[in-house]
Amino acid sequence: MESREQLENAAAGWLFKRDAGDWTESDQQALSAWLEISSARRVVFLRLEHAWREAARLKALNAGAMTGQPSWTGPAADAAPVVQPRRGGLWRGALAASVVLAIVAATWALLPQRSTYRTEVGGMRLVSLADGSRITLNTDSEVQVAFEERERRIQLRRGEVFVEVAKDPSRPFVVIVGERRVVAVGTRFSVRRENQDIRVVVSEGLVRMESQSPAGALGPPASLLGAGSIASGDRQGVLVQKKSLNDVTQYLSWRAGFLMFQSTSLADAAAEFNRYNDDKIVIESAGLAGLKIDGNFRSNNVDAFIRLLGKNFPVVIERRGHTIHVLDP
Amino acid sequence: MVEGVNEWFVREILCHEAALRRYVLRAWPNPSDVPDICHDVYVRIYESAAGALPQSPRSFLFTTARHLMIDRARRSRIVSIELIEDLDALNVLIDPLSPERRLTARQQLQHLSVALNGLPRQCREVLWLQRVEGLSQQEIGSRLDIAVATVQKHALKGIRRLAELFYGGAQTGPGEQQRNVTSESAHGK
Repeated sequence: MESREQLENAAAGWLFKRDAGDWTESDQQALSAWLEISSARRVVFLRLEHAWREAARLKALNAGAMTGQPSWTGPAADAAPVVQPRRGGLWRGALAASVVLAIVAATWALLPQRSTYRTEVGGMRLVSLADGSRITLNTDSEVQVAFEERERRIQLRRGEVFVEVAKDPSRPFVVIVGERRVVAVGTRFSVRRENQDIRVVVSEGLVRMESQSPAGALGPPASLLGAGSIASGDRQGVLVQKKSLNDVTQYLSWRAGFLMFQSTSLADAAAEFNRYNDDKIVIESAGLAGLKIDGNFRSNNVDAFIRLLGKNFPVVIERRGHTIHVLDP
Repeated sequence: MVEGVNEWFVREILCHEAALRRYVLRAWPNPSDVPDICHDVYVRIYESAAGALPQSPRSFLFTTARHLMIDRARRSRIVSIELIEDLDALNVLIDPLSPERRLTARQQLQHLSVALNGLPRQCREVLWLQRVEGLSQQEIGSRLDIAVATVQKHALKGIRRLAELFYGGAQTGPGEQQRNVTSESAHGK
């Protein structure tokens, strides 16, 4: 009997051959004959075929359907990520035509490019960049990516972004939030923005956080953040906490679609949910706001959270349109 | 192939793969057997569906999985008798935590892009160029500067792995542990 692995290899071979050009009538007959032999073959084939066919949907991702609407403007709105070259003329057409996804475009890393990526409330988006770095946008976020000769720069305009930086010592990777710069060479970290406040979570490598002061001006000193650091900053200064990598994971759980709470106050937990959902939780009692919560939740499952809250604590829950009020009984 | 059964199988059975894997993983002592057990379950289901389509696919799936594990345990001499009793006692359904949900198109897309990003780099590049950009094997080879045979090798591995990730939600990266953590429990401290 053929092993599952043999069957999978054979089925994957058929699928790839079928879609990679030159598929003839006799190939089709050979495939049918192959499938005829056993249900095991058919089952394996169906399973891989479905996943493979679904993968064609990624074209939509390429065309920006992730956010439900085109999140950029430019001459090539159907090819993502769209690059807005600074040079016009001949370059423009060539650029637009050949930039499809950054994964193969090593040469691109050398040209200045700019593109904007956005997510809506509840959205998440993974973007591979020209240099091999990857960014993941959390809910309701916007970044502009600008790669230049000396610097790879991401401007976080709103929300939160997780960055996996491809090493390139000659071109530091910088995330800019307002007046702050978070600089990395090869590492993984996330940056979150709320108005002027910033939070940086480093899960690997080393990151430098500095101020973007005009040359010569005396800004706050730079902070070096190692793996496990969580730095929170506002206009006045930066607070750095050293945490275990396990704790850091909690701050990055959004990438898997989860919110993790560990002794998190109800007020903070509600604020976290509100970032991801259109239905907003309002805590109406100061006593309740300090309540400590533990648990893991899907970030889009407010209902489960509210239900468990209602079941486990003496609270009254009232829905009014798009707000959910949590009150003292 | 019988058209009806194929479509039914994809629509009603494959979508439960993540739950099926968790179910088998919880019941069966050897995690490395899980893919083979799932495969055997699929074959059994597919064959019995060729006669008549089961009314309630999800519970049929889990019942079949339980029976199959019992058979397998009885055949194998290494597995202890307690396991068989455990399996006998293991009544469907033990997966109340994550009822399978039909994903919206957007969620599917997100799911796929996460799956794609979980692949090794060359696999990902080959699949992307083929699936999204529609290049031929030769074109992919010259674009990535690798031999056509290598393109094929990556493609096979990539397709299999993509299916794993696509059905199983076997995430890579820091989300991995959290997926398995029992979710949705809230208590005060």
